[in-house]
Amino acid sequence: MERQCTQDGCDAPLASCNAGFSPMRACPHWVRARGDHSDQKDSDAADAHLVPWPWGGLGRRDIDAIASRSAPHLIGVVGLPNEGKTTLLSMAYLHLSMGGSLSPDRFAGSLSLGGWEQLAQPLRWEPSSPPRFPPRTPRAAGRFPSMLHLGLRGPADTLRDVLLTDAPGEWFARWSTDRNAAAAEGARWIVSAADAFVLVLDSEALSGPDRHDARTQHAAMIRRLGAEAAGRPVVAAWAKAEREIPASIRSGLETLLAGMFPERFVESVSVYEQEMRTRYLPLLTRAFSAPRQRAGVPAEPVTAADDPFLAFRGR
Amino acid sequence: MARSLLLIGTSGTGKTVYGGQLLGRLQLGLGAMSLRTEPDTIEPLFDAWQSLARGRTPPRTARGTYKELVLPVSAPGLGPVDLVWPDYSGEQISDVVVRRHIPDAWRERVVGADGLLVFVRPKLVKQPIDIITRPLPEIRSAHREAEEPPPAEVVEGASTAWASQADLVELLQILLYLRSESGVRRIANLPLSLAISCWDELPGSLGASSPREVLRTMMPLLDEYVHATWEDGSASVIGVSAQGRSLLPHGVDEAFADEGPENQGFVVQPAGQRTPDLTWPVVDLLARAK
Repeated sequence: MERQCTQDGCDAPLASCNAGFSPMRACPHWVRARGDHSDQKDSDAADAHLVPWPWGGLGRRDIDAIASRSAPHLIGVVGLPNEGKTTLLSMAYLHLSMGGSLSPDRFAGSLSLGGWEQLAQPLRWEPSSPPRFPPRTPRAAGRFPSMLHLGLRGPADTLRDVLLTDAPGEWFARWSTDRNAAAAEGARWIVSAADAFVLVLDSEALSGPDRHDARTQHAAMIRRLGAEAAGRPVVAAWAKAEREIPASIRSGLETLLAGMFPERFVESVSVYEQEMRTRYLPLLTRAFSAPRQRAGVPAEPVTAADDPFLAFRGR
Repeated sequence: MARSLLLIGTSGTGKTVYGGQLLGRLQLGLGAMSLRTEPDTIEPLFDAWQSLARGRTPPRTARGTYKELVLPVSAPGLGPVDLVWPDYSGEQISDVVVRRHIPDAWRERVVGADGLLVFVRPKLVKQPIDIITRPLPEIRSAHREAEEPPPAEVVEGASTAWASQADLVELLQILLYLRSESGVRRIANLPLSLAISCWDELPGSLGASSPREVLRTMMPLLDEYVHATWEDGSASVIGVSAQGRSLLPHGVDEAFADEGPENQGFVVQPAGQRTPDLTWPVVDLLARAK
């Protein structure tokens, strides 16, 4: 059995060394861990160079490597719980992997390919299981969401890095009604750091038995984002659009959207409708192709001084 | 001068068969590339060549094996080259992606490589069928009925093999990381040939397409990654059928043996022309690695 590092919270050699050492034999915690009963596998691992990004979504520590090569374009994917944020990301990736276009850019890699694959897997036909919707993003405390990365090669051969957040809807539900709530810390970070937003609206909830609650919750979220987006681009998606929202509810929210985001782009998406199935990727492309308009000063409490990610982006 | 090709392919992609056929062509002087002098040893590939000559599929290289063969070769326009040809088990490549660490020895090979020859066998690459390509009303009920999935449907052609497009992109990303390529600029100093191997297995009309069209059709994400990452002209897509056809799965394929492996196999060049010269991929890659 492979030995684990003795440092709390470090998953080396399965994940990159927490202390940043590669090869791992340079790490004092690793050396201590393999001090007894050393075997061949330990030697192999200790002589190995670790891949410095995970086979999964990116965490806080992983994005520094991207921020050091370019100022990444951060897209905040905003929506209430179970609205379809993860499905939106999954469908966009499926389309990309089947030849969907990122025009005018081209796909130049991703340091979160494992994360994209894990999101998309439930939507694939496998011999042992039919497609299902991706599981809900786990509710988690904390400040940093899981992020998905795309490297984009532009028409002039420039490289751009895009990060998309995959955060639990509970963060945004709390933030909608209490911006300073402790449980909304992650939402505050996303909103302060994002260059643009994808706002997901849930046609199923807005047409279902709890549609009246859904209406007020959506209105609160739209207003909150409108107050904080400060002119940054917003792309809105009516998700699960195979469901028909009662006209009065829909028109009320459309009016609110128009008031809050005069320059918005709105699209309907659904996994069930042939034509709407291929709109997910263009929708995301629209979000990260919009001209970059950073908010002047990130809303407190996140500042460039205490957030290395924002400091990198300020270059 | 010595040139090292980094030959990359997961298990079953045909590296050993191609290596055996390459050795056979060199031994018999049947190709643009030829031996200048006799190599000190030809053992790593001799067994594969001999198996083919007997009408048998060469056994897969044993797990953990890594051997290098130095072939003193020359070709028109190329001059004298000592070609370092690796023979190893493909699991070592899979392990890099799955286990996320790269042994020092492999890192040194990657850093020292003059060209990259990647074998991709479409039959072993997952062709996932998803709800974009095959929309299903059943997904609705699958979603609603929560935990208990409906009975599984066996999808013909779906493979449980290791590789997927994403795995192959990840592998190339890792190789470039080891060479300290940040990705900011497109790659010009490490020519890449992406070889669609076992070309004879391609279904129907695809076999008449150009290799790039096959890649774009079957693995569009990999195609876009390669061409957005390497400079134009530094990456090319070719087809290889080292045997020309499948051998009988069991026993001896007498017809193949009688015709001789040296008379079988072909390469599909980037524009779609076929040549029986199995040394062409190496000559082309070395010429671009100058």
